[in-house]
Amino acid sequence: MTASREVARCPDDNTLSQLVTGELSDAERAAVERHLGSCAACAQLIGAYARATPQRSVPPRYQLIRQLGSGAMGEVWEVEDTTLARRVALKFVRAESTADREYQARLVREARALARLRHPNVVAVYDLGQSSDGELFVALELIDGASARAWRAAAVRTPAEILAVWRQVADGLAAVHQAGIVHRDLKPDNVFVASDGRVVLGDFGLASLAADGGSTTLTATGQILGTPLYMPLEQLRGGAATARSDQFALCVCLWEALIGTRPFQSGGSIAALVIAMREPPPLAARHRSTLAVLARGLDPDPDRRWPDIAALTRALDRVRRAGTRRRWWLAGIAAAIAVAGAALVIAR
Amino acid sequence: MPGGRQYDSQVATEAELAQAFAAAWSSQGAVDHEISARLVALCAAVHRELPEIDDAIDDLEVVTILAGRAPDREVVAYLERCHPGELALALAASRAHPAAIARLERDHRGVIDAMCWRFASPVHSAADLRQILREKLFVAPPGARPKLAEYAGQGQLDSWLRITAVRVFLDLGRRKDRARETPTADGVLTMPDPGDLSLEVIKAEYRAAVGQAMRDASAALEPADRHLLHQHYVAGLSIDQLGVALGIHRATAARRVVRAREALVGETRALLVTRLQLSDEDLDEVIGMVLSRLDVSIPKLLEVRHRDRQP
Repeated sequence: MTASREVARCPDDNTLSQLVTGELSDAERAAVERHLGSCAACAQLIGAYARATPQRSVPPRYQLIRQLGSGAMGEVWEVEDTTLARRVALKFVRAESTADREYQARLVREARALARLRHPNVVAVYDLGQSSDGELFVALELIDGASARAWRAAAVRTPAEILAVWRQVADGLAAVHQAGIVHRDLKPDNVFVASDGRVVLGDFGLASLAADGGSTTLTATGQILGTPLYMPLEQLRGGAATARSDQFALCVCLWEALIGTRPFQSGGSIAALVIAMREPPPLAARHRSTLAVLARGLDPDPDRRWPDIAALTRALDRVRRAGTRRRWWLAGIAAAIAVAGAALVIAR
Repeated sequence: MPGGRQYDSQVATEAELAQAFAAAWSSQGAVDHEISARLVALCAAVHRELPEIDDAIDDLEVVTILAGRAPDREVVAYLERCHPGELALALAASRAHPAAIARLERDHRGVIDAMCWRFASPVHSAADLRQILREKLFVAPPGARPKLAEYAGQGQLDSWLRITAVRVFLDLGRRKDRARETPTADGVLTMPDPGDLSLEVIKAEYRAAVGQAMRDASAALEPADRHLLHQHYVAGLSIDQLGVALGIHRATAARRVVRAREALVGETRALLVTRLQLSDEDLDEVIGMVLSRLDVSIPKLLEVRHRDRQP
């Protein structure tokens, strides 16, 4: 602040606030700017203010809080909905190319369909619109929690907890399919476990365009770019995503969550993954009957998978009940032996 | 209520408001009916806007604070520009009125959270920063008033909160920020030494002269222009960010940067004409070299500096 003394007193936060709000008269503005030219501290402050103020254009109803993620198709921000005083997630989608516009059109269709759907395990859609820059945005429920992948890694989870989480995902997915929507990009990163335990299926149609056609998911060297690890053969080959391909992805997710490895090993190459998918996945001894149910959902032929998610969940529930019955049986036998033993001891 | 202050829940009379305004107004002018009627309307609007803190609104205090910054002329226009509702809210919150704090945190949590996330670091999490900021805003240090009491209804409260948050967080002093690059203490724009720019093509005997001329020209710039060039070329603010910093449209910011740059080059040229006594042709060549390197080299130098700053 060495030079400031000769020029003028440093403007206070009221004056700086007027400067950035554009409320100063021309003369006042000129005086403040002269001061900024010779006061290092004030110039630093105003520079830091500009840098800390998010730059993207946003509908007046929303206030940008922080960027949650970004990708080829756009950005996701946590924003404050100032009208309803609540936090939501705003997803901005670019529309620079024709492909972007096709993607936008699909997004609009799906957002409308999702908005009609009310399900505790499906992310809620609140708003859909266009920013002044022509960017499409969707306002979604902001989930306070972690992705299923992060949730799984954060602590030791029992098989029952894992099954309970993915059971909720299955319920959400079944509702989505009934509404005529295909998720296209189900993976543990798109499923959120809220801090209250609710599991929410998110990120619809918001995966890269690659999810529609296998070709762009591959790099020139045939390396896999994340998402295809949960895709069935027909989708990797560029076929359209269907409810059955979502079912396949769900089975890969649950399989991986239960035993820690995915059913088909890729070794990092798409070719190896495709070859592995032609054979039924090996069933580990632990959770064998659950894995057997999932294996049907992983069949390379979509027609041989479970007819729908409801059928898959019924099968999973049957396995769970059988497991519970077996445990009761074992507990009953153990109790009978204990009673007999006690009787023997008493009889002596 | 701390301090045992009595609040007047009634809108004060026009005469009382006029008197309070006159007492705090630096002008010798009279508070005419146009002004006093405006004050009445303004206070009534404040009460309507903040029903839940009606008991905590002190009309005379609001009017006194607005009068403290009122210009000599065009007072009504000034009052239109002010934010009396936000001022009344801030004043009540600064006195720890629970409903006022609740309303302020509800209405402005967006900007507060945004700033906390922006400045969060391994040292201070966003939650830590929120707590630090809340204390600064709402809790009075011994013998003083809380920071929030400094808001005078000038500029939106949102902007004031942002600026104040930046000030508080910069004061924490631990954050490595590009904003640390500041003009030199003597107020001269720090221009890279032409020697640093590898202007090997410029004849060696001119190098020192060009560098000196640029430094002198920078010192002779309008301080506002110097500030603009500094923020853009040295501190690295984009044109959009310049617009945000100065509350002007990006197109205006861009135009002003171009003008300031031309002023710098023009002045450098004028100094070189008298000092080097070159032919016009040679001078153009020297200036051309300076110019061609200005835009290319400055960002390059900055980029290297930023890389150095990465942890």
